[in-house]
Formats: sequence, structure tokens, C-alpha cells
Amino acid sequence: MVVKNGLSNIVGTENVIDGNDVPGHYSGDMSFAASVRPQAVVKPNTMEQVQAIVKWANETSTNLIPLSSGPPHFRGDTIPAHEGAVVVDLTRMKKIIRVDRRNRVCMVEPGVTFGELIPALEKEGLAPLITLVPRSHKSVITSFLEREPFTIPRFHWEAQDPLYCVEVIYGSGDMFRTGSAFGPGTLEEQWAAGRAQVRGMGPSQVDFTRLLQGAQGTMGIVTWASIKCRPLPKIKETYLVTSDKLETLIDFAYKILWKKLGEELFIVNSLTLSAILNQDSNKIAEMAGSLPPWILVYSIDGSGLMPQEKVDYQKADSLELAQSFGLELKRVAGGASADDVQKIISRPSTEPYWKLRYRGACHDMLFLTTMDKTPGFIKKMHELAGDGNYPADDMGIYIQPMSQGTNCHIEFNLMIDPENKGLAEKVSRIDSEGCETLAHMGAFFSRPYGPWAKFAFGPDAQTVIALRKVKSIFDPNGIMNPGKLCF
Amino acid sequence: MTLSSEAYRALEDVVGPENISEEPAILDGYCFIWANEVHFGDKFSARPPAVVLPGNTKEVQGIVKVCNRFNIKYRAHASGWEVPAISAKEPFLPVDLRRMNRILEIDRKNKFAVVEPYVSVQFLLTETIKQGLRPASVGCGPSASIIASSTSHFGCGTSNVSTDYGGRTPLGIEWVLPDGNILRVGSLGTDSGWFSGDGPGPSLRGIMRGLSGPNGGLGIITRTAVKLTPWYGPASIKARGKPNLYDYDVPENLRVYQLIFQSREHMTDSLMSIVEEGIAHGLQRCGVAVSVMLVTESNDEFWDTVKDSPPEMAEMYKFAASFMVDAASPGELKYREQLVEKLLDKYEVMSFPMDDKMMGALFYNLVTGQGTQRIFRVSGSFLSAVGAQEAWDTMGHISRRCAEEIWAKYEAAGKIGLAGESPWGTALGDWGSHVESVCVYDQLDPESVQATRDVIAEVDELLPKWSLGMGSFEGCLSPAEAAQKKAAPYCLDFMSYEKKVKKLFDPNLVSESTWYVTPDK
Repeated sequence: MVVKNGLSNIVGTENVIDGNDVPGHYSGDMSFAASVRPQAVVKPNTMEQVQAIVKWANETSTNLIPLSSGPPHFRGDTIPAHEGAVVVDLTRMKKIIRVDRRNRVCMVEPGVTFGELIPALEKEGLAPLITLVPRSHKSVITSFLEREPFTIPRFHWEAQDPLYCVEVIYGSGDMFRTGSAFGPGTLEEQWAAGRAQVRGMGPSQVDFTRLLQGAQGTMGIVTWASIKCRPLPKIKETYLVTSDKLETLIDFAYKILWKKLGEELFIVNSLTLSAILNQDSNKIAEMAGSLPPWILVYSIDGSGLMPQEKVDYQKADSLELAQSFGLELKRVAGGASADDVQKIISRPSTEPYWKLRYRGACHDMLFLTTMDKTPGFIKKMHELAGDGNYPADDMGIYIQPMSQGTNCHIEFNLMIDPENKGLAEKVSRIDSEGCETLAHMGAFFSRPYGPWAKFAFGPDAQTVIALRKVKSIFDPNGIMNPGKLCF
Repeated sequence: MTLSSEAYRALEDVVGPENISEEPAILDGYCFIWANEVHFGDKFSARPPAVVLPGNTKEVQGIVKVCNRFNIKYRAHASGWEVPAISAKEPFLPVDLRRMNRILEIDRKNKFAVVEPYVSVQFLLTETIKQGLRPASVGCGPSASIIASSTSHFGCGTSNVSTDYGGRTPLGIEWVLPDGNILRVGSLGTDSGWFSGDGPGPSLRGIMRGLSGPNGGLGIITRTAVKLTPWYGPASIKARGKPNLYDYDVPENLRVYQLIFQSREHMTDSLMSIVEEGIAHGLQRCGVAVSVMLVTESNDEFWDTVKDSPPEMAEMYKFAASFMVDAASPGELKYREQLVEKLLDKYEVMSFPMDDKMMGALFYNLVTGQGTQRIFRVSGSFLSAVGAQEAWDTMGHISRRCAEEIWAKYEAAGKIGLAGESPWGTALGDWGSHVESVCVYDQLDPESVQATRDVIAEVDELLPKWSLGMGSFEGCLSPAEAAQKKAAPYCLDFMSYEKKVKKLFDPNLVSESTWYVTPDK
């Protein structure tokens, strides 16, 4: 009751849930994180309310778990590691504060989803950089705070993209704005001076935005962010490039990236593409069976002053390149239409979320590597699946070039029947044991959720020491999401 | 600061007697850096007690540990081009990294290179263009260290529109922290390779540098992977002629333009369109005078070339830029040439006619940053009176207001030269731009030096009041936190966080901090 009263004084009684009224999705998710019920959920609506909650938490030594996306959750990072925590649910913070066509940037609050952002940007002639068919309740800010990859590597110059500046309430209770948003002047004064919060680095000699990315809410709570957008294309052509050999598609992707052609560019296996395109599990299986094993999704945009001419030359160059690898730019492959793919990858997922359609539940394993090393990891994952008696055919695979092709995200979607407890246990074992095996092969768990942290931080004590120093600056009392990462 | 014989022997034990010296004749070589007189009132910086030249990471670590043990202030020294490389009021131990000069790896497929601190932009460019790749150029020119510009100082250059700001290019990093421990940032820390600099978890690149680096105030970077960008030109760039005035042929799949705009608005709109179209290899805001400077051998020759230009032409050239497109195929080249024509028509832009010599010089300048050094020729020395990075419109406001409200009175006094509303600037990836205005002065004239000091102080004072930014490259080129302190009243409290970083990561305060922060309040 003391907790409820304290929080109700800040946000009103109607925005606090406690005790047995706390819905189950705040206590557990689709990861293997142990289920822990928070003592309360608080739903602020303003930065001032968030700040008051963090100050209250410092005074009462209460742990806070920030959460911006609606359920289902998959990574365990929003599940309390300890009893007595309060979840700060930011889904009410839904303002799209600014859309700036001239500088191709928007400023949004953490509750804004891709589905809400897309029409607001379209009105201004912009489009978001979007992750691969995100779930409908996924927060745009959380996606990029967590360095999730988006589907157009040409716009992914480096790991910070497309996030620029953020407003944050640090664990200390202090409000700060990162990058060029720190000042001088208020936001309104900055806008009047032509500034657009497009510089994520800084201020001065520390990159504060970068210290919040990948932090899983352990440093503070972000209350808005400015995010890079791209021009809305006037023309778009999408192709499916298929092959039995992943290596051939990877070599083609390297060449496309070197020539800086196209927009969307990623590789999926047949199951992933089918699960994205189909709702019904039988249809997913059917199309997955008729598709070639590997599909590179590739699109060319026409925007700017000469959109058609751009598409024409890029198409000609891409065709020539594809032919040199014995590949084709297909509009239809194995019953999948490139136009359908394009429509679907430009929007959030319809319900149910595509990862849940085939078997009802899904566990992801994801890390960074370079594209040339992905075949080795896939071979090893198949071995791990075989050793663990998990049906490898139920495993979706997604390879996303990042940093304009300097590295890539690889994600294995282990789809499972949630009722099949035995299989879930096998996947849990593959997750924990496989992570170690993959880490020894060079997998970089840059976003180490749950048990992956052990292998991500294990080899290098200095990284842990340095990160704990950083944590002590921004969250001196350690109230922000304790038990995650190395904190 | 002096070195005890015990400390000297300890350093000697680390690097060997041939790689440490306290000979005055050698040490005086570490006392001259341009503009020291502006910041510290003397043409020469304080003579260091010794200089030490490590050959590898282990030796760097050994030196840093000795410095912690004996309370010796040290600062890393790579190519040593920029003012913070040496400039200081009090002596410190330069850790000269010139023996660490290897390119360790070029990963052609994944487009990155791993380098040691003394590898310059030119060295890496020469090797990477053989493999169809190139590093980010740096405004101070091709002799600058890749590591210094990408991790430790600033890092904007003529080609940043296609390579991104140099400070955004580091991947895996090996870093000897101020206390002597070695931190391996990103994928390097888990022995996964050099391909990523961010994670696991929060990115420690955020401590390594912000908009600018700590200028030697936070340990020593010993190896870094940097992202490379495709190069569509030939495998080597041939220079002809004599030193200081080489001629270059523009490769057949590159096109160079010198653009003249009718107004500030047309210039900004046009440059923003070029960036949005994604066709530029290099793009910089600069007047025709810069191109003329590149192709003339002396001030006299320069003056002979421009003296008869009518005054209205100088006004017309106020809004100008040089620009280069590249192409990976004939189809792409044709498309890009047509697009440029269309852009020029739309914004009523004049393409200044250039002969082969000027075009070749501009080509090489846009690829490498070559030519910046010629600014020294004008009056003997210079400093950038203003430097800032954000949205394009802001850069226009900065150059206009500085020209109208600050430069005019100083130019009228005749002690320093400023470029009016014709600064140097560059595009940074697809997100923003950089602008800076050079102040040329006579280092032997105390009044000229004082005027330079005054103009920088005034910019540091006024820029925050105008909500246009923090002066001196957001504090990067400002000793003793001068620009930061002037901006602080108008900003959220960034300084206390920076000071906590310094205190926690450099507990003995030995990483020399003139150009970074000190932990005091």
C-alpha cells in the first residue's frame, strides 16, 4: 500500500497496478528468464512523472524495470531479476513530438510503435528505418536503444544508427539530453536556430547516447528520442534472389554492398520468409517446402529528382551482377511474391506475430559476426539442434548486413509448441550450451540477454570493470534493472 | 615536471635505452606546435622532461604503469599535426607512437582495416585503394593519424559525405587505460574479431570519445579497426610535377565540380539535396579562392591570379562548394551526371569552369584533404575561430552571424584575416554538416595573436547565447575547459558527468588533461 500510495501521488491511482492485479506478462515472457512478479506497475505519461518515480525509487530503495513495448516480450530483459521491483510501463507516452522533413528526423516518445509512426511520417514524405517485421506493440525507441538491426544496410552507417539524441532520466534522478540536444538553449530555441537534434555524439568529449544503447534499461529511462528517417520512395521494386547455396547469396550481397546499390537487403531461410508471409502453420510449412533454402530479399527505391532513372540504372547493374553469380532477380519464387514481401516488410507484423505463427512460441538466439562466417555458425546450430533433439527444420534464420556490410546480425528463431514442455527444455539447453559453443567460435553477443551475459562478459574482466564505473556515474544506487548484463 | 633517475630507468627498462631520450636537442623537437602562442603566450610549449617511443602495446602499458607509479603526466603523440598533440603550459612526457606504424590487416570483404597509431590517412589510403576501399579523409590533411582522428581528436574531412564523420568509423579498439589496464572494446573483448566496436551491453566507445576525443587525456589507443568505404577509382593515384604543386589526373569515373550559388538559401537547399540523393564522394563548402590556393605556389602567385577579380565576383563566390561524384559503373556515372545537371538547373547553380590543373588538385583534395597546410602560407599561422556540427541550416546561421557580428570588427582592425561568410564546411554522412571559419594571423605580432585569442573567446561566449552550439569544436580545441565553461550556463550539466568519467578512469590523474577535463568542480 505504501508503494501504491507513493506512486499514485505521482501518476494518479488509475495508473498504478499492484499485487495480484499485476498482469502476468509483466512477470514472465517467452524467454527462459525465471518468472518474478513485480510488486507494482506504474504508467507515467510525462518526463516529469518519470523523474518523480526515479527519485521516489532512490528514496525507497526500490528497483525499477523500464518497459516501452506491449506484450509479448521475448528477451527477459523486462522481467525483474529480484522481488519487490516496480515496472515503469511507458506505453502511455505516445507523442510524436516532431517530424522534420528537411532534416529527415523525427522525435518520438517511448510508447510510439512503428504502426503509429509510419502514417505520421508518410504525411511528411518520410519513412522510418524499420526492423524486420516488428511486432505490432514494439516501441520504436526500444528497438534502436537495443541496437536492433533494420533492413536497409545502406542507411546503417554504424551501430548508433538510426538513433540520434535522447532525453533520459538517469538512475540518479537527473534529467539529461544527449548528443546535440544537450543545449545550448531549450529545444524550442534550438529549433529556431535551425538545429534538429541530428547529432547523436556528445556533448563534448563523451558519447552519452552510446552509453544508453544496449543497456537494457540499466542506466536510466529514456523519455524521447530523435531518430533518423529516410525519404519516402516514389517507386519501389523488390526482388527475391534465391539459391540452394547460402555462400552464393553472401558473395552477391557483398558485391551489392560494395557498389552501394539498393535499399532493403537481407537473407532469410525458407521458413522465416514463409512465416512472415503466411498466417496459418500449414501454409507456412507448405510454402517453406516449395521455396529454395535461401532467399535474399533486395529492393531498389526511386526517390529524389530522377526516381525512375535511378531505379533503371540500379536494376541494370544489379541484373548484371546477379548474372555473374548465376543468380536471378525474381518477382516470384516458390509461391512467394516479391510485392507481397515488400508490403509486409514495410509494416509491423499483423497478429499473431510472425514468429509465433508456426508453432505458437519462439526463442531467438542472436549475435553479431561477419557475413562470410555465417555458414559456419549455421552448420554449428544445426549440429546443436541435432544433438539436442530439436527439429532443425523448425528453425528460422535471418542474416542482416549492418554498418553498410562491415558486420552482420544473425538470428536463429527456434520455433516451438508452448505446450511441449520437453521441447522447451531442449531449446533452453541449446540456448545456454549453444551460446558457449558459438561464443568460442567467435559469435559476438553484443546484446547479451539472460544467460548469454556470462559468455559475453566472461573473457574480459576490464570490460566489466569499465561498465561498472559507468553504471556508478548514472545509477549510483543501482536501482535500474539490477541483475541484467554485468550489474 | 622533472623525471627522477629512478623513473627514467624504469621507463628505459620498458622501451630500451635507444627508445628514450632526455637530450635537449631532441626534446626541443617536441616543443613546437602551431598556435601555442595563442593559448599559452609562448611560441614554444614547455620542454618535456624526456620522450619515450614504445614499439608495441605491451611497452605502452609498461610506460603508463611507470607513469602511475611515479606520478608522471603523459600524453600520447601520433602524427602530431593538431594543436592538442603537444601544446601545453606545463611539461609532460610525450609518448611518441611513431614506431607503431603498421597496417595490421585489411579485410576487403568486410570493409575494415586494423591500424596502429602512426598509420596516416595517406598510408592507409594508398594500401586500401589497391583493394577498392578507402578510409575517411581528415580536414587537416593526409599526414594525420587515422587513430588520432577517429578515436582521440576530431575527425571531419572532405570525403565525410560518403565515409561519415571519422569519429563514427572505429570498430574494435585496443586501449591502454590511464591506469595501465588494457581495455579491448567491442567484439575484440570477446576474441570475436575487430568487426564491431559496440557492446557487449552499453558501448564503451561512448567513454573513448564523444563528438570529439579526449585529446590524450584518457589513456592511449594502441590499435583500432576502422570502417572503410568503397573506392571506385584506380588502384593507385599518380602524381606528376614537383613537390608542393603536384598535378593529378581525375579518374574517368569521377567528376569534380566547383559550384557557385546565388544565395545562402540556395546553397543550403542545394547541398542538402545532393546529400539526400546519396551521390557524392566528396563535398565541402569552400570558395573558389581555396581552389586557387591549391594550384598556386606562393602568396604572390595567388595574388596575381585573383587581384583583378571585380569585387562583385568576390561577393558572388561567398556561397560556394566543391563537390565530387563517383560511380561504380558507366550506367551509374551517366545517371549521376544527369542528376547533377538537374540539380544545378533547379537551384540556379553556376559550375565554375576549371582547367585540368585545378580540377586535379581539387580531386586530390576531396579524396585526401590534401592542401589544408597551405593556409599557413597566408600569414604564417592560423586557428579555426569557430567549429561546429549539426543540421545544415544551423551551419548557415553560424557562418552568417559570426561574419556579421564578430568577424567584421576584427577584420576592420586589420590584425587578423577571417573569411567573411565564406567558411570551410563539409557534409557528414547523411545526417548533418560541419562548419569552421579560419582565422589567419601573424604569430610574430603580439597584437595579431591577441586578436586571435579575443575572437575565439568571443565566439565561445556568443555561440551558446545564440543557441547555435558550443565554441571551439564543442570544447575539443579549447584548453582548460574554456569553451565548456562558457557554454555550461546555457546547457544541461554535461561537465559534471565528464569530470566523473575522468576521475573514475584516471584515478591518479596522470593522463595529461590540458585538452580534456579535470575532475575538479
